[in-house]
Amino acid sequence: MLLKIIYRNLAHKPLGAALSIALLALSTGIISMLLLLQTQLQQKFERDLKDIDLVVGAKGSPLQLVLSAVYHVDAPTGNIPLEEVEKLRKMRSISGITPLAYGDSYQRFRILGTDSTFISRYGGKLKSGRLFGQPLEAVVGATVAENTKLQVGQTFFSTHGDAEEGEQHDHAGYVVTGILERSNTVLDNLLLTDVASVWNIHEEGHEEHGHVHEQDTIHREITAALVKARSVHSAMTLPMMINESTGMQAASPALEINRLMKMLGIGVTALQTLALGIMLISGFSVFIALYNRLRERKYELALMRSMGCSRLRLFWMLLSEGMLLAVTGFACGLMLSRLGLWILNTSAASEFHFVFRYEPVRAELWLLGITVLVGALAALVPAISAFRMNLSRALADA
Amino acid sequence: MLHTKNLQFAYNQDLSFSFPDLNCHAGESLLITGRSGCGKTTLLHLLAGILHPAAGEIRIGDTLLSSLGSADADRFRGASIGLVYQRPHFIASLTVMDNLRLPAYLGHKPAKEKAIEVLAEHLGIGHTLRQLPDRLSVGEQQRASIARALVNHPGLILADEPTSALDDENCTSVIGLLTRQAAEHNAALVIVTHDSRLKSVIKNQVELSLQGR
Repeated sequence: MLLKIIYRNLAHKPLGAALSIALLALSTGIISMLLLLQTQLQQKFERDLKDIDLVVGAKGSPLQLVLSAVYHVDAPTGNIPLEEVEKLRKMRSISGITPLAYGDSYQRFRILGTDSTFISRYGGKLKSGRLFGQPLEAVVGATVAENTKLQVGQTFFSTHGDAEEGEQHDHAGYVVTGILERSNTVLDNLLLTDVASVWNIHEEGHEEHGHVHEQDTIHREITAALVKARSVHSAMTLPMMINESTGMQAASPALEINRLMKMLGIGVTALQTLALGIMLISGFSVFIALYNRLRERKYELALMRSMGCSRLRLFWMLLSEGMLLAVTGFACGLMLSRLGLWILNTSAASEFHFVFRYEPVRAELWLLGITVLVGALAALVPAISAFRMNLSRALADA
Repeated sequence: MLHTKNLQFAYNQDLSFSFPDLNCHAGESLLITGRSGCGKTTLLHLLAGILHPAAGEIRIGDTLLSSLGSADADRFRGASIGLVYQRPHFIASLTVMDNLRLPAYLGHKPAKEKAIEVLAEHLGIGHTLRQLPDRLSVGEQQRASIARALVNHPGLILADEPTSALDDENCTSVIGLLTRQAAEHNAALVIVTHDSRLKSVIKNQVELSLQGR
C-alpha cells in the first residue's frame, strides 16, 4: 500500500518525475558504460600482456610497435633482420623469444607467421586438428573460425596486406590443420602459421613476377619478436642495450600501455566528471520535484498524519520516494549503458576484434549505492520538513 | 465515551484557552458552537490528540488521551477516532476506494474491501469507488469523507464544520447521515461549528465563549 501511494503520487505529476529519472539515467548510464569499458579493456590488455617483457621490432613509435605486435590493432613499424633476432636468442638475459612475421590476411583477419611458443604463451588449446608442422599449414583462432567458417582440412588463399580487397595470392593456398579453443586473447582473432610460410608465399609470388633478387632479403626478415626476460633486472636493462647496440628498438608493453591508459585517462576523467556533474544536477532535480510536490501535498500529508500515520512513517515514505526515483533512474541507466555497448559492438567490433560483454561489474554495485544515496539526500529536506510539520496548523490552514 | 476535565491550552502567553468540561456517551451527538476565534478548532484538535493540552484531562473510552505521547496519540487516533473536515480532502492521486482503505492501512487494521463497498453503497457513493476524488461532486466528496471517518469503526467521530461549505439541501442530508451513521456504529459524535442550521438538529449543545487575551 505504501508503495502504491508512493508510485501513484509520482505518476500523478509525471513530468517532474520523468525529468529526474531521465537525468539520473543519463548520469548513471555514462558512468556505468565507462566502468564497463574500463574494466573490460583493462582485463583484455592485461590478459594479452602475459609473459611479454619486451617487444623487439623496427625503429619507430614504441606504442605502435606494442599495439601491432601485442594487440594486433595497429600497422607494424617495419621489418627487422632475422639474424639480429637470432643473435638475441643467444643472450643469457633472455629466456624466450617468439618471432612474429606479418604479411597477409584472410577476410580481414591477420595471418601471423610464428612458432608454437606463441600459442603456449597465451595458453591456447587445440579444439580440433593439430598444430601447423610445415609451411603453408595454418591453425585458426576461435573467432576467425566462427566468422569465416573455415574447417580442418580446408584450403584458403590469403590476401596481400591487411585490406579485404587486396591482391590475392591464389598460387599457394594454406591448409587448415587445427582450430583453437576460445581463450579470450588475441589468439581468437588470428590465423597462425610458421614463419617460413609467410616467406614462401612471397618468394613464389616474386619468382612469378621475376623479382628473385629480392628473395634473400625477404627470407631473412620478420616483423617483430616477443621477448621474455630471464629476470626483472634484465627486463629493465635490455631495452637500452638493444636500442643502443642494434638497429632495432625494444619497447616494454606494460610501460607503453600504461602511457596509453594515461592519455586515455584524461578523456575518461573528463567524462566521469561530466557524469558526476549530471548526477549532481539530477539529485537537485529530484529535490525540486519532491519539494514542489511537498508544498502541493502538505494537506495530504497532514491528512495521513491525522489518520494515524506517525511522523517517522511519513519521513520514510518521502525518503523512499527519492530512493525509488533513484533506483528507477539507475535501472534505466543500466539499460542505456548496455544499449551503448551494443551499438559499439555492432558498429566497431570487427575493427577492434573485440566484443564487449554485458554482464554487470562490481563497481556498478557501488554506483547503485551512490545513486540511491543521492536520491535519499535529495529527499531528505522534504522528508524532514514533513517530519517537523505542525499538524494542527496544516489542518487548520487548508 | 468522551469526557474532559479542566481542559486548558495556550499557543503563547497572550493566547490561551480554557474549555468547559465535555461529556458525550457512545451513540450520542454533541454540538459545540461559538464564534470564530473562540477556540473551536483548537478544542477539536485537542480532542483528536493532534494538540497536547497545557492542563486538564481528556478521556476517550478507557484511554487517557491527554497522557499519551505524540506517537502513541497518532496510533490511538488512527485506530479509534474518525475525523471529518469542513472541506473534504483526499489523496488526489489515489482512487476513492484506495482513499477509503487508507485509514485501515495507516491505523494498522485489516483492510476489508467488501465492507468498504457495503459502506459506500450505504452512503450512496458506491458508483464512485474507482474514480479519482477530484471527479466527485461536493456532496459526494463529503459523503466519501464521512465514509472514511467510519471505516475503522471508531468509538469517537470528530467533525470540524462539516456542513458550513454546503447548501441547505446537502447540509440536511450530510448532518442526517453523520448522526445516523454515528448512532448505527455506536460512536460518540462531536461536531464543532458556527453553522446555526445545526442547532435545530442536535439537542446536546455547548457554546464556547470568546475568551483568552
